[in-house]
Amino acid sequence: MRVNTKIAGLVAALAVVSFAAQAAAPKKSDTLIEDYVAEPLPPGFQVIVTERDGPVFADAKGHTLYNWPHRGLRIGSAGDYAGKSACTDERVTVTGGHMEPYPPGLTVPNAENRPTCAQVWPPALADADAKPVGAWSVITRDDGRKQWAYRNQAVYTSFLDHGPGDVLGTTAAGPGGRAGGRNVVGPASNVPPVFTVNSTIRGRMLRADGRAMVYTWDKDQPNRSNCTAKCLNDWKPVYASALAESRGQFNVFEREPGIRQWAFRGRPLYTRAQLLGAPDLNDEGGDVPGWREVYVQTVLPPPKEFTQQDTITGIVLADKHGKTLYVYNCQEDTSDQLSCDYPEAVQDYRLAICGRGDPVRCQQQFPYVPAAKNAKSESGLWTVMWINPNTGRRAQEGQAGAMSVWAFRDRPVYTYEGDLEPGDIMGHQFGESEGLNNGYTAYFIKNVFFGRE
Amino acid sequence: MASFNRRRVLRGMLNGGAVTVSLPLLNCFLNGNGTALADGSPMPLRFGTWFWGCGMNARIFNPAKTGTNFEFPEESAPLQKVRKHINMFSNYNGYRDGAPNLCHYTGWVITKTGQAPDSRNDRPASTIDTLIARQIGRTTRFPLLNATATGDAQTSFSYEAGTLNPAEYSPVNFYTRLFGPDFQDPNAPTFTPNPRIMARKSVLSGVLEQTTSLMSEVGAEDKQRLEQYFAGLRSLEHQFDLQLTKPTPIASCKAPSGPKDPQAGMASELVSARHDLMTQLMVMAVACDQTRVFNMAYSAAQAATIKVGYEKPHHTTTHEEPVDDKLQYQPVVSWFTQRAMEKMADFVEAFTKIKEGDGTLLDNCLIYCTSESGLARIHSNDGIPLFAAGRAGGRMKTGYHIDGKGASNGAVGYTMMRLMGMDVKSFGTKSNESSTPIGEIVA
Amino acid sequence: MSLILKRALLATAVAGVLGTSVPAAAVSPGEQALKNRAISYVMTDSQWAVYQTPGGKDECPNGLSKWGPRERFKEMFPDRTPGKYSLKDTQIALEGSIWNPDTSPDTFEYILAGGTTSYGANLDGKVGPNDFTSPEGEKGIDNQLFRVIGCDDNMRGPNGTIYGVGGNYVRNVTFNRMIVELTNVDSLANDADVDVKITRGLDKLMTDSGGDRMLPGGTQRIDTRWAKKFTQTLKGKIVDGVLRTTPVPVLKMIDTRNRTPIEDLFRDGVLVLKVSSDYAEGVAAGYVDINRFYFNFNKEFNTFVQAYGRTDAHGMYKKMKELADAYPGKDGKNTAISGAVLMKFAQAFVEYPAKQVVKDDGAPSLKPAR
Repeated sequence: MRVNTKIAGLVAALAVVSFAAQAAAPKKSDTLIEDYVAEPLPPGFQVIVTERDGPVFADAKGHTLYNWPHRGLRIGSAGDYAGKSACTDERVTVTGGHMEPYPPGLTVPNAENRPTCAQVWPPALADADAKPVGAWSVITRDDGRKQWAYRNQAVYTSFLDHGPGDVLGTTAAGPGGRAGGRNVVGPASNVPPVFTVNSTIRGRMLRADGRAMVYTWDKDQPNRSNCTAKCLNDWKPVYASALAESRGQFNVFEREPGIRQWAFRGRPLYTRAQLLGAPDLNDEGGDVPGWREVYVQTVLPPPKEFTQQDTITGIVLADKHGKTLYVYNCQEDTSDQLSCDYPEAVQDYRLAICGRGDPVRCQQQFPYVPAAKNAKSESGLWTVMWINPNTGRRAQEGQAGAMSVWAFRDRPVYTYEGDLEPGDIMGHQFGESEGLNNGYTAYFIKNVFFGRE
Repeated sequence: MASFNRRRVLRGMLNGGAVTVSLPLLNCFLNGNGTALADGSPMPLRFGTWFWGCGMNARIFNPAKTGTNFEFPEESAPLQKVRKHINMFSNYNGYRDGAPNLCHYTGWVITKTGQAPDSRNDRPASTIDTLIARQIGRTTRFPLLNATATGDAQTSFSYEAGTLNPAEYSPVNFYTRLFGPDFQDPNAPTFTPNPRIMARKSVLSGVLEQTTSLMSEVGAEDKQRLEQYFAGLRSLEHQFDLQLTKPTPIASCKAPSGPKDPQAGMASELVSARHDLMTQLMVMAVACDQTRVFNMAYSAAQAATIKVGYEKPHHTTTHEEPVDDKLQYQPVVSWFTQRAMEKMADFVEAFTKIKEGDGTLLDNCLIYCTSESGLARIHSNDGIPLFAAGRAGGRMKTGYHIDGKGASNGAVGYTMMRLMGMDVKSFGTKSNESSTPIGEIVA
Repeated sequence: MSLILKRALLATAVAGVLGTSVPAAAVSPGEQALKNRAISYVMTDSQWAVYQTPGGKDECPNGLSKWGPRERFKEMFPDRTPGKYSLKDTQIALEGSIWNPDTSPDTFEYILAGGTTSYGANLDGKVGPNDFTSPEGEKGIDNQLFRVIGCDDNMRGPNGTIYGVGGNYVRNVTFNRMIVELTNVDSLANDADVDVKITRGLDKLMTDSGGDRMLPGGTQRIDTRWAKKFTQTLKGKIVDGVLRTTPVPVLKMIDTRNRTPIEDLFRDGVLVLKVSSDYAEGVAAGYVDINRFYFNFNKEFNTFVQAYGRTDAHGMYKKMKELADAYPGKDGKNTAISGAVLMKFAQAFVEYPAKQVVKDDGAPSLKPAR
């Protein structure tokens, strides 16, 4: 199978840094794109390297693929068992009672027009005679149609994705909805077995041994570690075994005779020798001058007018006045676990929380973040959208009452009237279930005390 | 027995696909008095675990007396029928040494590894079943089998090097795995074992010739055991067949296009039914030496079992149900615990129904039964209830109630390891580190 | 080498010199610290002050909270027929009223706590008709918040979920590592002038093996970045072993009982702590900002957690506003309610982050610095 790689929406040039940390100015000639393990794909399928979620599988039209693994909920369960699809054309009109203490059977808003699971998450259909390819298999839906599955999990696209590179259906990390347990599906990162890669708000972060954050040091040279003697009290080289082989953008070099260390693009790699503090702290040694966290791919900077603010628990993104930015999260308590956090969804949930049904109160309590209509962001994750603030619905430019606002992943962001000083996060977790089922969470760039889980 | 391979399996074809039927330890595979294998090797020793969530109420669960002369109080009374096969350990604690008390997580991790986790993402060491499987699971078809009655593959309390071993949640899938092809050849023509066909036609029909030959070669006792085994298998298949062909009521009247598992849901009766199916399959797998390490989870740590007619599941009930003024305990919580104990008793008993050598399958097993908390309402790690069932090949005495008096439950974990013949110096770390087995139960 | 090990070796060495096998008398970590006229404590427990008598007979003669979210919903919407009710008119409407509360009358009975005894402090210097007497006999205790939460089953020990689980979080979550640093200390028995600094640590608490008993002598590295807002300096005096700080306009407190970063505000806030070389315990008291408390509470505790103990969040706000006793807002209605938090501390050594010194090998040297 031909593996077609596309790079979507990325502007050139980022070094191995976080845009939030102390950094050398990125060189425009450098390009940092995550390397992945190629594998056979169904006809027309492709891999697209996206800005924050790294390489993802996409169908022939470039629509990102997602899965929905079965999982237990507080009461009951939802999702696809292996080899099956529970995302059907059946219109669900009542709640499932999965979240206590409310009972099941309550008619959801706009029930008669509510989209079905398969409309929100169109199945990645396969031809009737489609054959399995590599880790891809073909399952039969309840209606008899064939659907692709990856590692036995049925895959879908999202009706929120407009084109190649969009990952708007769900998000692996950072602010944004949980989309009922759905995940982006993509190939494995091409990293040696000792490493893993996880999506974070700043990019695709490298970790060693499953947990430890990985760093480079400005005072090293290419494939030469200057961290010796006392430096080793605080920083531990990521050692490579005798049989380890260089792979992709990772290479092995000898730091001392017989002692091998991993490097990423020639930069020797380290973990912290000991935690800064208690194990629940989001320990990021990138605060130490000269030491940088390692990303195999970084997101591009947010809008220039935004600022960063220290809070009581980390760093948040804030507007130009220093007011913390918030995203809105919403999850329906239905068997199909559809999200309700985007402008096209029913707004009853949001309006209840932010204003008890009163859109005017909503705009006072959680106002939109105005954006100049032609404002641009380097990062494709940030856009300007037109919104009708009284309905919460997407609007067109020129429509009466429409305003242009900043949006993250095609969803408006907000500030909170209760934040009085830069660094205030009084609106964080405002809403049901710590703001995750129907509420607001702050846009944390780094959550030091609550970022581990 | 030249026609049968070393693993004692029958292989055949059914409807174009491969099927496998493993055999129990027939007398013809053993020595003259049924105490060892024919070639002199010892009878295989098996290790299992059984788990239930949300602990118990010590006041009405723990017997007042220790030793062999004790009575089970009302909450543990269902265990009376397997009393002679089990040991009970009360007042053994899981020590955290300053690690956080992560509700419904810390307790079982400590019990199964001897170490307290630092966060919910933290899976320290490896669980005891995987440690044992490394030693005794290398020669069987499956190093370890993991199953649950909850219908959720994530209901697992077994992990190795940080990776959770997902559980078999579907009796149909489990059956297909045990009796389908030995392996999936990625280059073979497309074939997915069809459980409906397997169940309807019976895997036995795929190995009919070999079965006939086998029956003509074995003695009367083995013949009787084989008939019992095949009858049990056929009975299971019949149940699956009924489940697989029963139409599911759908408003649009579309006929189901694929096999469906026994009815999903967390009502206690449904969980019980799934548990029974999983138990039968697991017993078969163990008896036929497809694995020597097995795990069964009756409920999740935050047990979601439902009592029909009562609006809150088990876990919620532990928090919301008031303590009855007269009874001085939470009556519905106790009801859930008793249901769990009934199934634990059933699980243990199922192993006594298989004759093996001069005893039963249970005699060659050691089954470690645990929960994740003592009093679930306050997420206590004190007095997490523990049991050990079976005789571990004669190494363990049974029928005892041992009071730990606040010792770490690492002592019980260490005892299990040593009974399984693991040459280890200790189990657990820090305050849970134990290096002395519980002598009263060692034969 | 840890201080405890040093101490043990010192004792052994002294015994050796004396030619005896009797170990020298041990000096507690706190006593050791006081030699520098300073002692610090790390918070190990924190609960909103609820004075309890057996069975609640005194303070809750009418029983405990009745109308939690489950009970309220069932009472308002009893029919379980699927499709009978709309989510918008039921669940979402209730949720909306939680997050946008008002003071309109509630038809559901809210059980207020009574009795004559409560923890807290005398905030206004008076003894009024609504005041309590402390368990130690001090009159004039201002704690109207106790009336609001005192009969909430979730808030009462030992089995209340917020009491128990929340208490766990206080210890487990490093965010809560409140430090009280005393300097300029001549005596923990009586000292007319003591400097008090409140900040936050970054390390685990030192406990026994069970994990529940807190031990003195641990070390806490100080958070000088994220805790800037919480870092406060107060003045205080110690009388008969009790430290009392001078009221400050706003005392900020960190004490999340779940995974929500919480910042509570106590106006006219004071610390009243019984201090010793190993432990301290007492209250932080003041006029609690109602909105801050109410929204923090709901952010911390999901509806299902509130359901465990039948917490009535709808009634809670209304009652807090009704019993509010300080700081009128623009509408003339009080915005703060007297309240207190019971706190426990263990002595700890504090370590401020090092100044970064670049050594010859180019590596940062982490020398402790104050």
